[in-house]
Amino acid sequence: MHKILSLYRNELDKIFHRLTTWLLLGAMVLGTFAMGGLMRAVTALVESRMGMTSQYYDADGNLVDEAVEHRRMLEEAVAAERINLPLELAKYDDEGNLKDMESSYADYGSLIWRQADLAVMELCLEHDIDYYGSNFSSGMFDPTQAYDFRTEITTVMQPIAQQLYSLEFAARTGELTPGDQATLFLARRMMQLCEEALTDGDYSDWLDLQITSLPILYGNDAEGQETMRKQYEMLKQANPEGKTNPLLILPTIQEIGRLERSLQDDVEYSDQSGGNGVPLTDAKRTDLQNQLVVANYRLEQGYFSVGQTLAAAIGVSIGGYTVMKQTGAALLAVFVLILAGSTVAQEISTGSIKALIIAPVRRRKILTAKIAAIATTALGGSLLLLLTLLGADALLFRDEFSQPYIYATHGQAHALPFAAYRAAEIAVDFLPLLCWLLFALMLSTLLRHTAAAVGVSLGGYFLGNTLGQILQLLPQSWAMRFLPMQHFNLSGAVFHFAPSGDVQGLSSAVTGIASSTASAAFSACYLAVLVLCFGWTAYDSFCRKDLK
Amino acid sequence: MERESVLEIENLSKAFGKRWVVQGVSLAVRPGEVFGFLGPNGAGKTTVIKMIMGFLTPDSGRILLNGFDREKQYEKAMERIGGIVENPEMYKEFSGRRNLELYARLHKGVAPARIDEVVRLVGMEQRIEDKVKKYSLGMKQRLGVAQALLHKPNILILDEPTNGLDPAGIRELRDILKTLAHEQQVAVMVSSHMLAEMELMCDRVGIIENGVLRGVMDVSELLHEVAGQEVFIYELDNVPKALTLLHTYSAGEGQPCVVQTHDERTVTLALPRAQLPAVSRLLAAETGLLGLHAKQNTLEDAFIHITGGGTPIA
Repeated sequence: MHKILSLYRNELDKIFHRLTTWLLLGAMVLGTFAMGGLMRAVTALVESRMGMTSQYYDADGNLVDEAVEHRRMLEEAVAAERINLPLELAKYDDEGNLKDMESSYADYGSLIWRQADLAVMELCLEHDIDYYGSNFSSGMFDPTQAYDFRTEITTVMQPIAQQLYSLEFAARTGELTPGDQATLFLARRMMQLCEEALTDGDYSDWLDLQITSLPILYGNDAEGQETMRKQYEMLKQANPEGKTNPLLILPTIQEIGRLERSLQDDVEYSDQSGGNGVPLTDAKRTDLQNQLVVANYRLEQGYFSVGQTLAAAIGVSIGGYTVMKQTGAALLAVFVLILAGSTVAQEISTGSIKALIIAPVRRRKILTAKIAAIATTALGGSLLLLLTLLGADALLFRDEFSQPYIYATHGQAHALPFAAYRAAEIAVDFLPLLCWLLFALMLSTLLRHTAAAVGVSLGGYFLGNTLGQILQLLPQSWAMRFLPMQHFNLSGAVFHFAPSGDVQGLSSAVTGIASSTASAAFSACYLAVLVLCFGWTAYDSFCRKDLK
Repeated sequence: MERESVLEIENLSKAFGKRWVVQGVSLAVRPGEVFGFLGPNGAGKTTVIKMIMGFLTPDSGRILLNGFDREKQYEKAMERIGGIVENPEMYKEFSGRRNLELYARLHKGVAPARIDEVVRLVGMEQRIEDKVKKYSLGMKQRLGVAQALLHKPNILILDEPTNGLDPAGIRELRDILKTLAHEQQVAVMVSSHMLAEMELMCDRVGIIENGVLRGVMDVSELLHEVAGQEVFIYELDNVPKALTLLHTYSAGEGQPCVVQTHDERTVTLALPRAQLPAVSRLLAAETGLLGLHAKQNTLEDAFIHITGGGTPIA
């Protein structure tokens, strides 16, 4: 044991004396931050293009507070419309016909809509709330911004007001059909309720109003109405005071809807709307029941996934944290593969192995120390990556990352504290990494050529992962569970209650592969067998083959 | 009771593919002697040394180091062995001292002071803190010797240790090895192509050729064996014709002589002094004798004598 420890110390000295080690670790940290920065920039660009956030500057180029600027713009717009709109309307008679043909005139229908918009804008000024319209933006779609549910009311009031003004004009100039009369009645009632909601500031009233409007929105689609009604009821329960942006909560509510529907129909649907699904097995049913328990627990406790919501809101399919993790974990894997692929081959090619062979130490101890040193370095690299990710996430995304991991067993929800969860994730992710490490080491001992060993292991790693992603697109058969690339996303399988797209293990981040049909236990056993096979081959080759 | 030999090789054989590079080699090295391992290029010297040092696994045979079987009791057998195989290769990014420190960890009881001691012994005090990548081949060789001596081995095996050393360095190394062997009873085994150096350094030599050990004997005994013959250098006009004549002459007389041709005009013959007049007359008459010099027997002559290092006559 003393000799193995001495060899281990020597190996660590050698690893950390190499400039390559520090360069690759530095590249991992910087690459992770850089990718995070890039994602942040892309997100900001998308948000800006969508008018979700804007930055305003005064004449001197100083950044102006968004709310203040919105208020100023709204006041200017209202003041302008109060002058312009009567001038435009004066060109028409009561029937909506132009008094004189002029070279420039506005469509009377659009003037009616502008009247409706003006009415809503005046209400916004009166209640001192932001207005959502084509020329303005608000923080309501940015889940990281402070949320005022009353802003959301304006998005509903604007089309209702437009409809109301149009129908009122139609009523003045002719007979309304019974259907139009009913719609006019409903629109007046809705405007009244909206104004009450603005005045009272009662979020529950607002949600009731939304439920009331469902017949208008969904018509004869009773199923759609019922689904939405349930959603609003759950939203009311989860967010009674309207302090949390509903966009944060809705993905969880929708997930609950999907799970309930799947369990009810005994078919696993891919989304809430149903459609083609896979018949449930007993195991899958139990799993879905547990997932439902977890989703309900998250809803009750207020654990929502900002990353997932933001990604959904801006139409980017993957969250910034996940991209950072993919980048960092890929760089970590490259580092480990270079280290493991060169460890034996380089010593043989440079001849420095001679001093080890001459020493009174069996070769298996030499290899054991090398594996232990590289594995320790890989573990340290994983911890460094985790710290980098947490730091970058805190700096760049301000994500609610420190949530516990919620899981369920036998229909009972449990919460694993944040620190324990991350530690466990590191431990789980380490098995696939160890597998790749031993693969590279095996090649190093077999080929005894540094470039070949590193090249083949890197090629195998990236090719295997690409193939794994392609395989995910194919129909999953039972035989596919025996393919190695199906098992590198071990943490995805182990922590499968984590919200998708938000929390994935390091290895899954590398591969980007969703959980396969294989269970976590099967994947762990599969990887353990691979570790044993690679390790045994490496030992056999290193200990038996002559060093010419 | 002290063992007779600390390094024993019994019937050692090794094949690379279908080619046997070492066949049935047996030898023993005793404490307190410098044993020279001689042989032409490709004779199997390094292969034998690599098998002793654990780089290669013998196909058959046994290696005993301090009485321990290297295969069965590897760590005990290798505990007190030091050496250099081919060129000494170190970790180039580390200093010489760091390399020694790393190696010292693998042996029990190597005190830091011992590192200074061996550094002084090989005369590396001025450069030991430099990175090895800045060392010349000779300095690496010295560092290799220092590393080999670090844990005070009682068996020291050096493969071509004088490679890259300047004459002064060779002399220093010779003195070190002789001191270790004769004063500290270390068994030293050295392979080298520099036969003159081996003659000065070694107490006994083993000569290997084509993987087969031709013989093991004391250097003095070996020189004595070839003493019956003397070596003469002939300068001739027509060397090819001389070789044909000598072949015919040897066959007729039944007395073999060994010939080495150095260039187009020089032939070296090892033959009894009694035959000198007849051979000289023959060559003078038929090929034009330009000059004749007598030469002292050396280990090189003995080596040639045993291995037929030149063109064997008869």
